[in-house]
Amino acid sequence: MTGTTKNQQQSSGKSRSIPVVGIVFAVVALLAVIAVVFAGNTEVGSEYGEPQVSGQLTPAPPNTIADTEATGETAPTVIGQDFDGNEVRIENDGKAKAIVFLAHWCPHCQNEVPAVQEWLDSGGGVEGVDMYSVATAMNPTGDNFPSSEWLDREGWTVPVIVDDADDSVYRAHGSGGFPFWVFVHSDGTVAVRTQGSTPVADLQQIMQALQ
Amino acid sequence: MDFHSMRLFFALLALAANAGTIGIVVIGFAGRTGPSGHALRERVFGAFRGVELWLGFAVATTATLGSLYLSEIVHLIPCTYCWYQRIAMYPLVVILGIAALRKDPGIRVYATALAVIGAAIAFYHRIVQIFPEINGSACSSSVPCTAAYFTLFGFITIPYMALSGFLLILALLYVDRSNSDA
Repeated sequence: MTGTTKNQQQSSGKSRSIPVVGIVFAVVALLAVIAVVFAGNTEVGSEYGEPQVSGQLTPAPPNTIADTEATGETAPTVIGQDFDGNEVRIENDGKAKAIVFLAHWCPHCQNEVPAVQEWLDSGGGVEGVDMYSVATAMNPTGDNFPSSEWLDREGWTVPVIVDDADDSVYRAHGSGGFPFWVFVHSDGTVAVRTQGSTPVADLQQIMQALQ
Repeated sequence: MDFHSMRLFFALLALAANAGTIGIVVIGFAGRTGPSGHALRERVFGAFRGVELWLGFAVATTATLGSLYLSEIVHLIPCTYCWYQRIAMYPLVVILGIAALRKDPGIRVYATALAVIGAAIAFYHRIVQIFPEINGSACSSSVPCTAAYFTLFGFITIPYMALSGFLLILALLYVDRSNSDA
């Protein structure tokens, strides 16, 4: 209690030349005004697609880099559109497939896309394996939105299907960690799924092993 | 205020908190450099006398309400590290509030411990956002700690704001100690 008395005496004894509390309130009020004035109209439209999906894979197990839970299951059929509204179909057309699910806000996807594109640009890709991508988990207030500008900027040449607000395409494939790859044999059955950054060398190896 | 105004407001508050923290540290050091520096410190820190803990309480309350706004109103789901930071920040509202009411200097050691832990987690979280490889190679489909919900001015994310709050609270506790030593 003596400390209290001392404090009170000192505060009343000295003239408080700097009105700290007043300054704090003034600064906070000023910042609030600045925030309202300068935030501007940053409303961003959404860019969801309207894909039609049929089929459902086993949910991907958490914290697994490569998983084989869905091995042998029949891959879902997806009829969707790219960002320009052109139809893109992922269906059992007798060809092996590599499908990557990309989230614009995910730093691992942001790293994966240029790595894969560089591989494709330098003559990469695997003969007989079609590649698809799905822009999903879109968040209009998130980082690096919208997906369309991001993939344009990266010169992404893999066909894109735009997922809907419920992430239907992503969910149908089991909602794995991003970037999420689903590899499909030419008979339409799932070979393997990988979650998280997958080096190009691994992609190539998995794609070459598709039947 | 809509979400864009609010998050800009929070980012500006974080910058103001940084300025306050740096100012307090600089003046604290100046206090050791001789008579004039000492006089400056006495004058500036003296102006805080009696309100240090109240200001710390105000910072903790702002951070708490801000985090609740982001999760309960804007529905940004907190990731694991966000929760750890909340665990350090929320009690500060209560203990600094009670200590300010009771003018209890004994709170400093408890509040400092909580704020240091919170600052360390917030700092690590911010580093993970910059170098996501540290924390594994995948973004979980639910709530990844590696991905920032938003970034303002190129560097201010939610954990950065939390870190700013924890550091300002530590700075205010330092002012409180300095004033009670005097």
